Amino acid sequence: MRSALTRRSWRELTHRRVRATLTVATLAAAIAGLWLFATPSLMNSAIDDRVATDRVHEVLLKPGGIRITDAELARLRSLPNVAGLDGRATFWTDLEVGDQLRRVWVVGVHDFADQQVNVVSVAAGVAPRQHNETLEGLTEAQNERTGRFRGGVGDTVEIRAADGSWRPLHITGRGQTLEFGSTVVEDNPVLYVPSETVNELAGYQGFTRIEARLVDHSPAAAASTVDTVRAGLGAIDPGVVYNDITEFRPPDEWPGKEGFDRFVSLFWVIAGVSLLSAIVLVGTTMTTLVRDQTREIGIMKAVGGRGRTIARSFLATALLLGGAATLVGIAVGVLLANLLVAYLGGRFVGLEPGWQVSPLAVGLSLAVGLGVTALASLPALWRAARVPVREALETAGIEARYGVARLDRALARARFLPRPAQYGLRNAARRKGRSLSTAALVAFAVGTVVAFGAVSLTLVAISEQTEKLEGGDIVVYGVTSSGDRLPLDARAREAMLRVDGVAAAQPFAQSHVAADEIDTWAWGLPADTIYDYELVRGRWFSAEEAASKARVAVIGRALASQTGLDIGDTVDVEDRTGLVAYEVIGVDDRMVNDGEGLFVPVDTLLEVNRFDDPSVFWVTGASLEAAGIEQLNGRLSQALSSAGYSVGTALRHVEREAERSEARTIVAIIMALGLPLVAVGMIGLVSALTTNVLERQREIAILRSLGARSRQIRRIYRAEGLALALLGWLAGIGVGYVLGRVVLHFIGNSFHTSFALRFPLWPLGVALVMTVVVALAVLQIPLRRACRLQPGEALRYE
Amino acid sequence: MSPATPAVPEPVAVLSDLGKTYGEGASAVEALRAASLSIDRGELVVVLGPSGSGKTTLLNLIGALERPSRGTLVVVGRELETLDEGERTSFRREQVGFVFQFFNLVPSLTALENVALVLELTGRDDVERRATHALEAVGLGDRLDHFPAQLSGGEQQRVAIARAVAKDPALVLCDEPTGALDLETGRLVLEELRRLNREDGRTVLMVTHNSAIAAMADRVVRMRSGEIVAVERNEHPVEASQVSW
Repeated sequence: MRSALTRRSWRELTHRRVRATLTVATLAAAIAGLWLFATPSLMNSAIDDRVATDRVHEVLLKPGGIRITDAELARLRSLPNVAGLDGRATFWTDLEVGDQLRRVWVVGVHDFADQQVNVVSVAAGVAPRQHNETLEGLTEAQNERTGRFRGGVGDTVEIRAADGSWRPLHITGRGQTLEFGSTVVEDNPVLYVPSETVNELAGYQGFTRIEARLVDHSPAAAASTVDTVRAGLGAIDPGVVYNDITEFRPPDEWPGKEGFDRFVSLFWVIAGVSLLSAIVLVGTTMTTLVRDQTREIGIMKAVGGRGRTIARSFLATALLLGGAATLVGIAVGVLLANLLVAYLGGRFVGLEPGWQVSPLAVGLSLAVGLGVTALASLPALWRAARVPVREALETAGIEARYGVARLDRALARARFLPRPAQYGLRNAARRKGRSLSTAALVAFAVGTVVAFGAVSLTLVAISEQTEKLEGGDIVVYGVTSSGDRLPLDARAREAMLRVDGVAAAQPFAQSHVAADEIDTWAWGLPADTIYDYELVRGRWFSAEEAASKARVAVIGRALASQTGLDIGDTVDVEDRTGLVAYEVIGVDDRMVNDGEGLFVPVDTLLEVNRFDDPSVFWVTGASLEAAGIEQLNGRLSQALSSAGYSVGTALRHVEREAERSEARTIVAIIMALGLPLVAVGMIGLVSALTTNVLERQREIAILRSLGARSRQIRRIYRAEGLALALLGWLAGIGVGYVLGRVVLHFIGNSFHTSFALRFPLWPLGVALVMTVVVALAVLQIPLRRACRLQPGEALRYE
Repeated sequence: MSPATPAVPEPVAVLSDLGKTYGEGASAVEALRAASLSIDRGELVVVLGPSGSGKTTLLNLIGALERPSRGTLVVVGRELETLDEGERTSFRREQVGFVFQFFNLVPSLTALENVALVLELTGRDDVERRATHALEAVGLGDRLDHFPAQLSGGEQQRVAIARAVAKDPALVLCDEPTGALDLETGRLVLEELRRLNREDGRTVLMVTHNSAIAAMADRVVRMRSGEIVAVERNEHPVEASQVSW
């Protein structure tokens, strides 16, 4: 037979079911929140599988278009240290979506049946074939997921060939591979077609990408293999040029990781806050639980129970509650973590991961669920065990020491308040410890809402600011029939300016570079650029510097903070032609290329890249309306085409909309990460307010025996609940501000910069309304239940 | 000092075959069986019996704190078993005053406010004056602004008595009013109840297991195992100051 103490521990759960359930729910919510810790590792594990399945490249060379026969390809594949190699033709062009044009990246696959690197797997439909009439292609699975292009299997879309003609392209299926799927997230939709289709559309032959996997991934081996492959390509085409720097992918990197990594630090912050909240929540819950049983402890001591024996019994109760909560928390946590991984995986890399369980999170859950629960009970048990027996016995719920403290006397003088409010306030003050822990829970929930609201607003503001970064309404770029850049000279600029509705046309150049080994972009801009820079220090380059093609650069804030570069320093920039040194003359605050951008005079960049003329222009229209811009775009294309220039255009308002959508997604992710915390706070709040009423049935019964109407009782307890909620809300503002700054600090860190938190008042108002509504709604059920109880029955209730 | 009992007995509470069962089936407990009794206006009745004899159940039924399982119960002309919850609340508010063993004062209210609370609930005017008067009547005029925690057990019980009578109820129901008090303090409380009965003419029904208190009653109702086993009239009730245990 189990001992009476063991049975007491068990009965504590079964006898007070509502309280036990709420306690378990509160602890479980806290434990489930810990599973945010698991998300990065689950994501990495899922990615590792995907990297292996997709056979993601380790080396990428970008020649300017090289014809390789099957036999030559086979020879390249058999080079030393090459585990796999594929050639790929790609083409940037326009896609007609409804009445709008979209930039699209057409990726050619040499042989869908024999792929060795960046394998495009067919997720739905069938692989496209090469034939003469209608072109066939696959839509990247990420196109639809990100909303960049919603064309589905069976649709036929119009695609522009390099010669300006529009060609129908039939979507035969949905394809996916990590490398290009991640591009969709960052940039434009991707279509997979046979290589020959790219050659036909772009008007060039051969490949523009050579992708390889290696046997030995070490940097030395990789560099040596690149030399060997370059030599092999040189043997095939002695005149081969490279349009970009060679890309090496370290084994722990994967396409799209950069975007995901930005959230990893946020995960750790939120998981850390979650752990902290779990400890606080478990602590307050257990303290309350033990405090409410002081009388029982007194009884056990009165009958001779030793402190240790009593503590063991209460610890057993705590562990039973903690154990149940751990089980529930792990179940909810597994669900939460996997849903998050599925969402983020889909969002960043088009991943559809299977269900996984993190041993780290299981261990943490057990440690918090059992260990912290037990530890958190100890101080309260210690206090309760030291209470003199007589005092403990008199703590029958209704007896109290109210009236002694100064606050009690002060509240007694607050007679200007309505009676129920007076009673409610005093009731809150009577159970100070309990009230404070309830208010702390409210503060935590409110703080989380406010913090994440403020962080989201800040990020939206930053992204809106980023939208203004690139000037112009239309980007005009010259492109040759082979897909290469086509210089747009002074005559082209004049042709643009002659088009009705064009207000300005400004050249710019862009080059993929490594600045002090950081992968980024160099922007060539005029001295009087329409780019709306904002310097934190230093200056923009002068007209003289621009004219003299000076090697001066304004660098982004994040680039400055990562490299430690400052005004007067020299930044080494590696681009496709080699290494160039620029003097840093300014630091820009804008977030171009996530604050890692580099701005140099346009002619300097052209010279470095050995170009005579720019190939890209920003064109500003007189009309700001989308329809006007669309019409202007048509006139502009026609005018340049008539003048003999082959150009493509991109509409900035379309890009801006995509960026806005991107920003919305980021905000949604941040809010989604904050939700578990809010849920933890809310469950704690519900638990605290409900228990607060349920355990005072005796008190309510006395009021009922005096003839108080249910309505009057509700008013008193509502006033008390509201007082606590308002106190929590006030404290929550402070909590929210601090938490918001912490979260934003970590987000800023991941961008190697810092952001100023926007802390507008309206989220505080929203949080206030939410708090009041939730508090009132939560109190309804227990109050109704308590008021329905027969007073005689309730007076017997312990 | 002469009793204020009217010459012609006027029943305040009439119980007929009253019964109360808690729980159902095998776990059912019959707390009160076929109790029949009539309490007249101005009487001081003591219900005497050991623990578990059904005294508190009887008191709770008369005070409309619980519903009877069987029988009829008419208090101040109201058939309690026919009243809905709202009417029962209203009945408690208007017609009965309770004095509990453990005082059951609202701890966050001062002595004055505890008494004022019932007057506010009943919608009386001049609440503060009436509450003050009620407390002065029980000798606590100098303790008006004290919270329960700042009062002794006897003082708390006197606040409870003041609270019970301030609204001028037809019936004062006391459940072991001296149970938590020592002899001396208990006597003070009994004197107060006796004064209410004799001077103000209030009907007092007191439940106790203390047989010594029976000596001050007009009538003594003896209970055992949920049944009324005897009702005895006390021809020579003693003063509360003479009661001793």
